[in-house]
Amino acid sequence: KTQTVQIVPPLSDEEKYRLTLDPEFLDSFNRSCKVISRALNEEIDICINYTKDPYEKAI
Amino acid sequence: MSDFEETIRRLQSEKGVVGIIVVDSAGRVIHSTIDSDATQSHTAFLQQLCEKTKTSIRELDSSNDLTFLRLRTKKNEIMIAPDKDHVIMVIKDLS
Repeated sequence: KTQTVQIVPPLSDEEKYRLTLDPEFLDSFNRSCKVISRALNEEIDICINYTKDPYEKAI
Repeated sequence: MSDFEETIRRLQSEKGVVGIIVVDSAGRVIHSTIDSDATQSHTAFLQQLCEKTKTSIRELDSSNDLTFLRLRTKKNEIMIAPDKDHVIMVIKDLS
């Protein structure tokens, strides 16, 4: 099976700038950022390793 | 400073954040805080991973959809927030 590679030209600076000023874009962008921000600030480390040697100084 | 830049700056100042990439629905980079080579490779692979995940979720339940993808690796944590017309990828250093 052959795969067709789609080549999408990159956004121009003008297009990028216009997009970052679009209210609809900003609205959903800010919403996503809030979710990420909350995830980043989660205090609990779900992968914490309690079996680590307590005498081992280096972390 | 625009609202967009302000939000990026705030996110980047969070503890451990080493990179933020914002792409549009076609995978074209809108903004990145890391160098262009790293941006290109991260975008290519993470976008693919995100699409694959999205398809898997929909295949399992057609009324369901992916809202947030969080990956824990040995070195870092990668968070992907897909939306209708953009995807935000954040890389957090765990050390």
